Amino acid sequence: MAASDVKFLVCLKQVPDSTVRVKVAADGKSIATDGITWSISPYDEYAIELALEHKDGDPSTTVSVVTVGPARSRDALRQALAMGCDDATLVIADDKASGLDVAKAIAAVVKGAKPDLVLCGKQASDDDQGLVGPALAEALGWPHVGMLTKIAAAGDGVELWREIEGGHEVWSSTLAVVGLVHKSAKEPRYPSLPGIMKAKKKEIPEKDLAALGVTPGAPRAEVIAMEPPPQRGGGKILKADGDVKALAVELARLLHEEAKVL
Amino acid sequence: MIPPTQGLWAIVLLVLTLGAAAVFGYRVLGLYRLLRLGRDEARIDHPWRRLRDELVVYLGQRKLIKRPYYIRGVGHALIFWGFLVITYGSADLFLRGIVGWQMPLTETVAYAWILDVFAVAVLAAVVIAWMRRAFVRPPRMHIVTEGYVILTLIGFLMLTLLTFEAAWFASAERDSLLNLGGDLFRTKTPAEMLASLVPPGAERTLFVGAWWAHVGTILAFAVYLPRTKHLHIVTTLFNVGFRKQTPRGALDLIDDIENKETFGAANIRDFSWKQLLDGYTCTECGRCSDNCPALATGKTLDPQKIVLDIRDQLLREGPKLLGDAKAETTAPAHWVETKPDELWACTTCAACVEACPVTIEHIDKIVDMRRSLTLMEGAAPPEAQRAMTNIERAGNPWGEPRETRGDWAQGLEIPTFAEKPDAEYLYFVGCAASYDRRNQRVARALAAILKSAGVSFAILGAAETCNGDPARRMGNEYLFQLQAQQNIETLNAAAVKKVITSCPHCFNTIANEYPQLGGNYEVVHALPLVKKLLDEKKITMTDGAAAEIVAYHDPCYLGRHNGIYDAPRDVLDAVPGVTRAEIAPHNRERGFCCGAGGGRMWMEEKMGQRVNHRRVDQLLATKSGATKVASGCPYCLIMLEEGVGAKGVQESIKPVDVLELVAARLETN
Repeated sequence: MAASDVKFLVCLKQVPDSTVRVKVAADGKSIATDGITWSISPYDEYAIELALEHKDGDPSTTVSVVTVGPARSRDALRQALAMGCDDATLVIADDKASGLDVAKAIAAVVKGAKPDLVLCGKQASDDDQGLVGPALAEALGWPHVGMLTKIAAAGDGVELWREIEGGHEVWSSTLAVVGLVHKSAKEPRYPSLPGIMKAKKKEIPEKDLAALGVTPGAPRAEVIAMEPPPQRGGGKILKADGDVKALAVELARLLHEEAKVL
Repeated sequence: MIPPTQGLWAIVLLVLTLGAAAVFGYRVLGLYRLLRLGRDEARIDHPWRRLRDELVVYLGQRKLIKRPYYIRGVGHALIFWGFLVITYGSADLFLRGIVGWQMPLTETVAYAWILDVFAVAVLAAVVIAWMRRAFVRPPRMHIVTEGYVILTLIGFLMLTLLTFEAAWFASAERDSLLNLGGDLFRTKTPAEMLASLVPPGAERTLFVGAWWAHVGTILAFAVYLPRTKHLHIVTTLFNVGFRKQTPRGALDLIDDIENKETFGAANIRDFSWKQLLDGYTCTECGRCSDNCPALATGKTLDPQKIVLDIRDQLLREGPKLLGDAKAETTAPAHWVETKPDELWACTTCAACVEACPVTIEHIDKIVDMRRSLTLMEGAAPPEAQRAMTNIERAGNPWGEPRETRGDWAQGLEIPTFAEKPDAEYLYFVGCAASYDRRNQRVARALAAILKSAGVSFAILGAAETCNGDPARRMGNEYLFQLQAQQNIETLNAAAVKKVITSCPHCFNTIANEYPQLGGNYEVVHALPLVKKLLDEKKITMTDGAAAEIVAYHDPCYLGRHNGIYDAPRDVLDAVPGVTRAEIAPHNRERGFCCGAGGGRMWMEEKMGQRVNHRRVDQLLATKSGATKVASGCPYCLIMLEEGVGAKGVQESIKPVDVLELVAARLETN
C-alpha cells in the first residue's frame, strides 16, 4: 500500500441493535421503531475496526465514515468517530431508500473525498441484502473483494485476505478497491471517554441526495407484508421408566408423526 | 537514675540528637513532598469516627488481632504497646540527659515494673519474630534483610535497656524508686533482679556503655526508619486517621466527568496522596495476599504487590517529578511490575481490605487503574467490552432485550409502579433476576414472600435498567453514571422512597453509591427485610418439609462490603427443618468470593483454577453433610451452580437462595 497517508472510507448503516426484539409495525410492512436502540451494523463495525487497526500501525492514515439514512443515523456516525475515525459525512435519505440509490450516493461521496480504499460490511444486519457494496463498486467502476478478514500493505497496493471454507485466500489489488468486510481479528474497539467527548463536539456535514446529483429511482422491490416468525412450541420430555425399547419406539413415532422429521 | 551526661557529654548528646533529628526530618520531608505529588483528596469527614479508629485500630491493634492471626496479632500488639511504654522512657532518657528534666512518674516502682515487663516481652516477641522469618517463612510474607535489621535493632534496644538498668541497680549510686503502686510491686523489678549478674567493679562501665549504646541505637533507628517499611509505626497513625469513612462498598465518584480530560490513575500523580500514603504504610505482612481469591487460585494478581508497585514507582520516579509539573511518568498498567492481567483478575471482594491491619485500601487503586485502561485507552478485555456495550444498548450486561426485562413477572400479578403508584416499596429486580432463568425463580420467591407478608410493593418492569455496578467496577465510570442517572430519574419520577433488592450488588450501588449522584432512598436487601418480617410475625412457615442441612455462603457485597452477616443466618435458622452449616474457616468476614464480583461475571477466567471451583472445594471440605448451599446473591448462585456442576456434585448439594427456602415453606392461605 502507498507508504503513508492512506485514506479509508468506511460506509456504515444504522440498524436496530441486535439486542432489540423486533416487532412488526401497525402497517404490517415495516418494523415498529418506537423507542428501539439503534447501532452500527455489526459487519460495518468490523470494517471500522479493520481501518482503525491500519491507522494504529500507521498514524498518517485517515479513516472517514459515511452513511446514507435518516437524521438519527448521525448517532451511528458519532459512535464511529468516538472509536477513532477522523471525520464523518451524513447523507440524508429516506429510511426506505433503495440499495441502488444508497450506492449511487456513496459513489458521489467517494468522487469528492477520493479515498484510496472503501470498506463496507458484507451486509447490513437488518435486511441482509448485501447489495450496497457490490453496487457501489459497480457505480465507481472499481473492483470489489468480499469476505475480508484482514488488510495488509503490499508494495503499491494491498493484500486482501478473504475467508473461505477451511482457510483464507489472499488477493492482491492495486488501490481504488471496495472491500466487503466479514470480520476483524479483534473485536471492534470500545471507545475511550476522551474519544466519546471529542466525537460529541465534531461537526458532521450533512448532504442530501439532490446535492450529490442522485435522483431516487422508482423502487425496484416492494415489501408486501412482514410477520414475526411463529412461536416455538415447548419441548417434550419423555420419561424413561426402565423400558428403553418402548421409549425408543415412542420417540420414533413422535419424530415421524408430530415433528415430521423422520 | 542519673544519666552519664555530665558536663560536655550533655552537649555531645544534644549534638547527636539534633543531628539524628535533622536527618530524620529531612528524610520524612522528602517522603512528604513525594506524597504531595498525588492528587488532593479530602479525608477529614467524620472526625469522631476517625478518633475512634485511632483508639481502636491504632492503639487497640484491632485489625491485627483477628482470625486466623490471633497469636501473631497478640505478639505484634505486645511489641507495639511495649514500644509506647518504652518510648515514654526514651523521652525521659533524652530530656534528662540533655537538660535534666524528668518525665512524670518515671522514677516509680510501677513504671519501672511496666517498663521491664514490656522490655522482656518485646525481647521475647522479637526473638519469635526473628525465628519465624528464619525458620518458618510464612507464605507470601516479603522476607527482606530489612526485617532482620529492624528486629535486631529492637532486640538490641531491649538488651541495652535491661543492661544499663541492671548495672544501675548494682551500682553504689542507685537511688530508691518512689514506691508508687504500693504493695502491688513489692518484689524487685526484673532489671533489679538481674543486678546480681553484674560483675562487681564493672557496674559503672557497664552502665555508661549500655546507656550510650541504647541512646545511640535509638538515634540510629530514627535515621534508618524513614527508609524502611518500619516507617509504618509512624505512618499507620495517619493512615488509620485518614482512612475512608464512606461505606466500604462505595467507589469514589469522578465528579464533572463530561468536562475532565483524564480519568483514573494513568500515572503516579493520578493517585491521591492517601493512596500513596498506603504505600508508605504497607508492612509487607502479606495478609492481603493470604486472603485474595485471585491469588489463591493461581492468578497473577497479588494485592500486596499492587500496593508495593505503587510505592516503588513513587520512590523511583517521584524525585524527578518534583519541581517538574510536566515530566512524563509511566502509566501503572505499563509499569514493568503491574500488568493489566493482574488488574482485571480482581473480583473487588474486599478480602484484602478486610485483612489489612493498617487500613490500606486496595480496591480503589485497582479500580482507578482500570478506569484509566477502560476510559482512556478503551483497553478492557473484549468480553468486558461486550458486557459494557450490552449495558449501553440493552440496559443489561447479557444483552437480553430491554423490552422483556419485566417478563419474569408475567402471570404473577406483580404491579409496576405505573400501575400502583402508591406502593410502599420498589422491588429493584436487577438484571440477573430479570433475565437469568435460575435467578428468576429467586425473584418469584421474593415476590411470593412479600405478598404473603402483605408488603405493598411494585416493580419498574421494562423501565428498570442495570444499576451500573459491573460497568463501574470494570472502570467504566462514565457508563455507570449514565445508568445511575437514568435509574435515579425513573425512581424520582415515580416518587420512590423505599427500595428492596434481592441482589447485593444492586443493594450496594443504590444504597452506597447513588447518593453521590443525588439518589437518596431507604434501601434494604431482601434478607434483612425478611428477617424483620419474621420478627414481626408477618411471615409464617410450615414445617412439613424434611430436615436438611444448609451451608451458608457469604456474598462479599452483603458481608464484607456492607457488614450483613447475621440477618441471612437468622433467616436461615428460622426456616423449619433447616440446620445451618458454616463453610468454616472461610465464612463471615473471611468468606471466599464466588469469583463473579467486580465485573468478573462477564470476563473469561483462563488462568489457574476457577474461583468458584475453589469455593465448592472449600464447601465440600467441611464435610458438614449439607445438601444445599444457600446465599443471598444472584452472582453467587450462578457461580455455585456452575461450580457444583463442574465438580459433578450437583445431585448431592444444590445451590439455592435463602429466599427460596423461605418461599417453599410459606403457609398458603
